Amino acid sequence: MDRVAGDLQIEQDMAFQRRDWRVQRIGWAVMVLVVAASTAGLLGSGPLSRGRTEVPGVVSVDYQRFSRFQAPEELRVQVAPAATAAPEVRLAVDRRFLDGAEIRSILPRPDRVESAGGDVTFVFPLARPGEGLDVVFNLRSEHLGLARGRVGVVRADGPPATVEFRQVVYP
Amino acid sequence: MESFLRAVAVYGTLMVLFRLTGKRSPGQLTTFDLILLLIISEAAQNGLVGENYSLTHAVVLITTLVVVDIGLSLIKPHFPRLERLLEGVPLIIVADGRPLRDRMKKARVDEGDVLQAARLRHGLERMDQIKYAVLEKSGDISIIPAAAAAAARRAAA
Repeated sequence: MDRVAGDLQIEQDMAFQRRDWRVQRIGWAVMVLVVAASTAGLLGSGPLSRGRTEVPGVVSVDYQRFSRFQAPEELRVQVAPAATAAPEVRLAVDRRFLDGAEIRSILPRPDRVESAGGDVTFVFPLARPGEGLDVVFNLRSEHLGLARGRVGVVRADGPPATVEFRQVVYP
Repeated sequence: MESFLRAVAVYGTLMVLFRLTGKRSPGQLTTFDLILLLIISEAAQNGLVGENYSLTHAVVLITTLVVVDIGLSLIKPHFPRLERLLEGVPLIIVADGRPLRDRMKKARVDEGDVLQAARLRHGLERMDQIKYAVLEKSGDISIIPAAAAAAARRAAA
């Protein structure tokens, strides 16, 4: 560090200054990356954040891969007509997932909600036999980090058709 | 705990971001820079406060911010490298009336900025009347006029 430069008593340090500038330029690049990643959906909602998991012909779940703490998000469950049986459709959602998310609204609203064996079961009435079910859960993440969810359609004949998904919740 | 973490996270983020943004003194702020700062403070506020509007939360946040700030200012003198890291170093950008162009370009300061500082502070007219111009850690440009430096040397001799 040169304590004196010319006639000036000054703590100029060109080696540090040059490193400083280099780090600054790298920092700018990182900032651009953050903005790009966020726009793409890697830091919250966006194209790359849309996830879909399904049992073909039975049930599909559209979820958000990347979510943020206390931010609104949507979970859409669609049950194929072939998998429904009058008079109701029963969706079993994993209790642990629901503990980490606040349910703001469900559309359509379930007739009743039951709790059994580590699952919360939402019972939806079927308007007509042979119709599918398309339900949207409006949620808000309340836990940080990795969250796992499981949604199952309870079937009269045989075991429930279950899909699982994982999501990352940023602070 | 949450208040503390939020305050420290926002303090750290802003410190890193503004350090990477580069030097810019309050005197150089344009009106739009000022508006931008207001918007940034608004955005930071959400991260700080979250959904907790309690008085306790606000008091803890403010106290944490102030404590971290005082703490850093107490630590800095003992760790010159940390101080350099957090605040940067001053940079001579004009020597004996010659602008050091590569430095000015890297620091994103132009001759107009230097001449403006020379006019505002010392009523100087031209670059050759400037002995030194220094881009200070604060972002200010300080000017040592050539005439004053020569007079001081004569007085000392």
